[in-house]
Amino acid sequence: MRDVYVVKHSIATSLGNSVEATWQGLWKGHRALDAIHRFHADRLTGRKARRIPDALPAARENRVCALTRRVLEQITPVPPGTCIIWAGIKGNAEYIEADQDIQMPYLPEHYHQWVAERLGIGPLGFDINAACASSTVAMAVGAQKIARGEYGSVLICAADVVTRFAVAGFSVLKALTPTACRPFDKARDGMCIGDGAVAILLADAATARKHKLDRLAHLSGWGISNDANHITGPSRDGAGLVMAMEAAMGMAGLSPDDTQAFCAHGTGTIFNDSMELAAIEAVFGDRRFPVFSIKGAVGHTLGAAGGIDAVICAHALAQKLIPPTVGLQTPESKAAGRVSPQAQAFDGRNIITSNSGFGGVNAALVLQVVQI
Amino acid sequence: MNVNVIGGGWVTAFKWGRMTDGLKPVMAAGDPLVPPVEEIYSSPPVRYRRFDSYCQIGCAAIALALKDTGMDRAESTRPIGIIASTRYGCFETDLAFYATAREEEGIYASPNLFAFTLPGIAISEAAIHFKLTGPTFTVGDPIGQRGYNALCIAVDLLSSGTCRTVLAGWIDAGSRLLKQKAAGDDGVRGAMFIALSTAHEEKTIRHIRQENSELLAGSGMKITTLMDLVT
Repeated sequence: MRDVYVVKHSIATSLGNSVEATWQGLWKGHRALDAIHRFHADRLTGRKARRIPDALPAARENRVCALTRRVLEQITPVPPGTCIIWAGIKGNAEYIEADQDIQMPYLPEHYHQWVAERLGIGPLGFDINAACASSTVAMAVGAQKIARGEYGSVLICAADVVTRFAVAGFSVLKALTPTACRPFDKARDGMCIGDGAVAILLADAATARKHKLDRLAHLSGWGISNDANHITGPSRDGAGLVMAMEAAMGMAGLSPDDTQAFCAHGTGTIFNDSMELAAIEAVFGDRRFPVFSIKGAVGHTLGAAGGIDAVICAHALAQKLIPPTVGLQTPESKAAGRVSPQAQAFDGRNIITSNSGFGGVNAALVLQVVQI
Repeated sequence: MNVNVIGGGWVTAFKWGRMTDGLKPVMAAGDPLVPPVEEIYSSPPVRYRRFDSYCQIGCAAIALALKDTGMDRAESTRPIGIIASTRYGCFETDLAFYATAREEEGIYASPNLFAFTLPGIAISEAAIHFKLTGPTFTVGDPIGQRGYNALCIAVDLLSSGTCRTVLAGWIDAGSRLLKQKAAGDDGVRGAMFIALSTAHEEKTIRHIRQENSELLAGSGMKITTLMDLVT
């Protein structure tokens, strides 16, 4: 099996159009909360979102395309023969909201082809939908294809935007915060949706060398599971997430004691965050080590969330810093000593990151400092 | 890497069936026939009455495939994965949900419909009912390839040792509400799943093997759709 590396990445979030801008925004504790103007949301629970207001679509495109264009511009070129995996999950919402009367992409295959055309490479690849763990699962699937030698490089690309479709849906499920997103806080009361896009190029060592690509992080383990418990709610004991995390750590050759930080899904909903804290206790016992979530700052970016988390993890390893969990005021007891509203110095060599979604899906990745 | 095909089931506009019945699926345009609940489930899934048509046919084909392998009943969870290819996914339900969300600023949007607005919900409902805790997600399904992408990823999961048994399949219910069909849509609707395993040699119906990026049947024939394995 070949080793898999992150060799290029780019993100667009409400904090900025690059990993550096997003990182600076996290560091400063920016929350970038905007009122929703594109549609009436005054009577919904969540009236605000983390938006990128200047992402305006070109003709026959939509805001998902506009955001994706931003991350592709930063990652071009990619090696010929790169497999593209699209992992945005609601790319049809804008089409539906336009009453299907305006020409724009509306099926996942359209986005996959659209990305291939923008990059000028063949339409090798496919799309993946694993709810809010989509780009995490896409990274695992892409890494597996590189590891067994099917491809030298795989591009994971995802974008999702704040739509009436999503805001109304999460609102009636009572999942949106009426106040502020506060992951792992005792008083948390829901999540906040955000615009976001990500592009991550994975490659084996030979492809990285051939195309003079820096190996930014080693993707050394991955795991995927299902709770087999409930469609919209996570299992209370975190058993499914434990399976995914243990599979990822096992592949990376890490024991729980070796694992040095955890980037949580941390949506700020009561049930998700409780489930994650239960899983952390089940895997790591009472060991205190850095745990963080970026959703208090950038919101929940749906299909793009896992990829954005992974990019932040790669950047954290390089910068030797753990970003603050923006919004946290009074941590849950199981979060105390782990999650912090302050940035933390970090000298570790690995971070595990995970995401969970509707349908009981869980996925975890281990990112490590590249051994030279 | 050799993989055993240990069972399969399908639901089409013509009929439903299982591999070990000796039947061959007939792919036909039109709405798939949904088998009677008592014919495929020992007890129906908890939320069966809320299922949309995409979920109904997807779960039915998974139930038939599991019944075909004798693995449709279990006391505890099992690390079996489900990977499904789909082109339209739950588009019909997306449209139905949005119809409830567009009035009154969305305050009367249907939470039940929203819960079905992801294509993976159908296979997750099956995972819950049959206690399957392996990977569950959907992949795109270009025209004419019904299930091929899912099959490739399922074999990847088996070859990496992630799972010892995976259900790979295809689900498409289309949408009557969608104004614009995808290019090349031939109107065929239905669902089909086969059970693949690196174990259960005694249940093996046929073998497939992975060579580089290709899947080959035991005869050496290149596999390009799921149909190649059930006919």
